[in-house]
Amino acid sequence: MTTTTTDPILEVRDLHVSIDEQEILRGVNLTVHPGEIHAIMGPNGSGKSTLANTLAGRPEYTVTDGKAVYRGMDLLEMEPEDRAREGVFLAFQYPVELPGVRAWQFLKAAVDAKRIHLGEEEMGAREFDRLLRSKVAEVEIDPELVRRSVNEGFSGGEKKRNEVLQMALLEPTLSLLDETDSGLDIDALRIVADGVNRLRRPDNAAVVVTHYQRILNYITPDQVHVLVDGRIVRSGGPELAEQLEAQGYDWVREEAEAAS
Amino acid sequence: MAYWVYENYPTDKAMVHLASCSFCKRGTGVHGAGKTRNGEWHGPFGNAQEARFAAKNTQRVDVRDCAKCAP
Repeated sequence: MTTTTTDPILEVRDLHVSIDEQEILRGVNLTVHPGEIHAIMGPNGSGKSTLANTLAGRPEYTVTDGKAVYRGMDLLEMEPEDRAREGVFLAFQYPVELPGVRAWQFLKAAVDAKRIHLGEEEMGAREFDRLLRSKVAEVEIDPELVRRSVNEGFSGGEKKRNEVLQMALLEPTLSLLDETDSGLDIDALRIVADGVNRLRRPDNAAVVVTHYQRILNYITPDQVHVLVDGRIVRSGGPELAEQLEAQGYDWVREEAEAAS
Repeated sequence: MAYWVYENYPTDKAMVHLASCSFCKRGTGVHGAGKTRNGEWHGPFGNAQEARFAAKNTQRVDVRDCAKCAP
């Protein structure tokens, strides 16, 4: 497990979140430092995706208590688009299709929005095209896909690779991967994981939300957290993920019930 | 007669036009001259062969003549 004295990229304290007046997160605490990858694991309905989506700012989630500080900023007070411009990236569990919007133009608009926010000029079309080609090769995505409408007719694996391509272009400070491994065959899983590993730097961090341990065969997390009934009930190193894979989630749930 | 090539990045296409084509308008097209938001005009070229050579040199996946002006 990595320990560091630098300021955290993300600090979540006693976060409570509801959807339609039903409380999903019941006091989540999480601290993510630069250079770290954290895995959030847990059974279905435990609140894993709610945590990722809340941090990204999806409006259907209502924060009822707690705080989330991102690089010294009150994340929960920021609009979703401002969080994105400041370097928060959510890779969707089910990436949406945008018929009529070419991936090339969508990606350029995203890159330009971030550059303008940072006081830079929009990237020239040729310069962007070169950058995109290099990233397309890096994440091993079919170049044909960036000429088509965003995610339209893409396979599940292609959609997830397209999410990694966006990550590679936007170079987020905090990547939130919401069950990126779901629906992937083993080759696609490896390519997606390789993409995440390649983007790992000492000044960024990632939170990988997953139900299964298998993606963690390719992405080695610094910390693994188990979320049960809206609370992180156990944290540990990568070996915790292996234990969960071998023994399931019941023992963690039972431990949590016994402790409460 | 002059010829132009429009290199379109999002579609990975390079298309040869006659200067008089309404999609070309002597290298101003519908999105302006020179470098545009999504691509770039190259030209003018003195003949179709030169223009096609330039289009091929862009190394775009789809290189073709404009179907409207048929250069």
